[in-house]
Amino acid sequence: MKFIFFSILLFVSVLNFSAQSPGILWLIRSLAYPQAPVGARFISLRPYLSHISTAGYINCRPSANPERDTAIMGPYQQAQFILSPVILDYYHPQDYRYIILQCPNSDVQDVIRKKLSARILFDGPNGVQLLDRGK
Amino acid sequence: MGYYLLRIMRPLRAMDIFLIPGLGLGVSAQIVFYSLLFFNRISPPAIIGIHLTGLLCLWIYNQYFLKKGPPTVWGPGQLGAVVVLLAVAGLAAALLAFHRPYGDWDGWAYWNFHANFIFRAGSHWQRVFASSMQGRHPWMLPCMVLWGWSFDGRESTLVPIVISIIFTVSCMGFLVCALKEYVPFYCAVFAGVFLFSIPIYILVGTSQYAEILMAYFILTASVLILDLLRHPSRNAAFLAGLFLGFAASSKDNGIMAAALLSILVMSCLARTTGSRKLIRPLAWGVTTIMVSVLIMKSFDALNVGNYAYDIFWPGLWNPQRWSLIGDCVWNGLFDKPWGMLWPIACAVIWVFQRNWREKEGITLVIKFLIFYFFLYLFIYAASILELKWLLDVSYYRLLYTLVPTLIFVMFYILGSREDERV
Repeated sequence: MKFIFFSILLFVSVLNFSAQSPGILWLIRSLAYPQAPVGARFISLRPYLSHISTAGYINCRPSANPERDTAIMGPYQQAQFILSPVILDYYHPQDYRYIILQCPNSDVQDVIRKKLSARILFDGPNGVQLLDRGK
Repeated sequence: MGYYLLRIMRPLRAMDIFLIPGLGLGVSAQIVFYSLLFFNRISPPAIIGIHLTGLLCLWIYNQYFLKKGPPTVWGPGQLGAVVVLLAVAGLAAALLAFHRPYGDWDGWAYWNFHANFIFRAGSHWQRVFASSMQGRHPWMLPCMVLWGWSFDGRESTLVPIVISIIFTVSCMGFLVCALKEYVPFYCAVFAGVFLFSIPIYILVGTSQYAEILMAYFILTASVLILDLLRHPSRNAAFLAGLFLGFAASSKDNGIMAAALLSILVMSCLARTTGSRKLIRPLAWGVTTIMVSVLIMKSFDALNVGNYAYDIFWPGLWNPQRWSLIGDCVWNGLFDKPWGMLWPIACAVIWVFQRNWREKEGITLVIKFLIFYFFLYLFIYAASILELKWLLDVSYYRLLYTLVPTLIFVMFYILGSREDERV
């Protein structure tokens, strides 16, 4: 009986290894293209946030369930990762003087900026802006 | 540091090679945490100074006051076989890890985020509890990363990568070397090969998640408990307690796993008059590490304002929730990433009951696996979070932490003789 189970385990191991071989080949081929740095689009904001402890974060992408939407939570958490120790607040961004606005559409950016009565402190690439609501 | 500490507790054996990284990094994480509390910031000179002083003291004690134990004995070709297996696994782990230098989502969004924040925030490190990524899980992994960055002097991606590779390979190495003490060598190596063949093992191991730490510490704690029951001694009890504490400090789930294992082993020890005296050193071992977890949780509770896990009691009696959980469990049994592990393991445990029912040690570990799994199903049913999402993101990680221990149990049952005592 034990021999039967050992044989099954051996067979399953061989199957598992052969199922993984396309993945291994893909991995070796893609070694030239490692994972992009996390939060790269926000890194240019760092010098402007060195004296700031908290800021709001707005992503203009519409979503029925933003907390489960990786297209919203992903950039937000990437921004939090790369800009720490600044605390970014996604849920109450209007409560802060400094706000990071991520929006690829410049018209929508203008609408949001006017609503917040904010000026642009830094206009970065990939639709990322740092807004200042202070005087 | 792990090497010298382990030598103080007992003569080294083959499996201790792979206990050393866990013990060393675990102790270093504790030193980083307490230095953070004492200096109110990460102080690399202090951390390096404490480590060098500790190393020097341990070296002196080992060199001049400790009797040298007998050398570890390997059979012909055994060491070579283990080295080859681990070199191949290490190479695969390194390839995957360096391809994803920031790890998977939770690797950078949670674990490395905490390390980043504390490293950069100076004396304002407590503000990490105010972030939306609340510091709910214990900080063993971030403290290990901070330890590496203290020596490196910067927040390099290399440190978390190397830590993930160390634990992925050490877990496999420990599985083989620990099994070698109970089953024929070919069986032990086969267990390592089978673990390596499971697609999800190295993938999650190199994701820079705490799951690989928890999997490693649950396996090591379980084997040390078996060892304790086989060769009872105060040092063995303390060592088992330490690794239970490390399991608890890896993740919140680890606290539950360590508590369950502790209760099972203490009730087992309490049943035998001669073994009752081992409960205290075991408890001391757990407490030594749990203190840091309690301190961290206190900071979290003070900053968040409350520490109640919301429980949705009616969920326990909701048949729709149980149906969803049942579907998830059933589908997970035959899911490709697990490589048919679950149905085979369940079949082995069921068919060969005679091989383990009379052996207190392995029965204890099997009970732990079963109780822990079903306890978590109840937690899922009673959670206030959206159940489908929760199962999608966390169920496979729950199972992952049990994989090495389950494979140990499976190959123990298949390889050990029926007249074996433990």
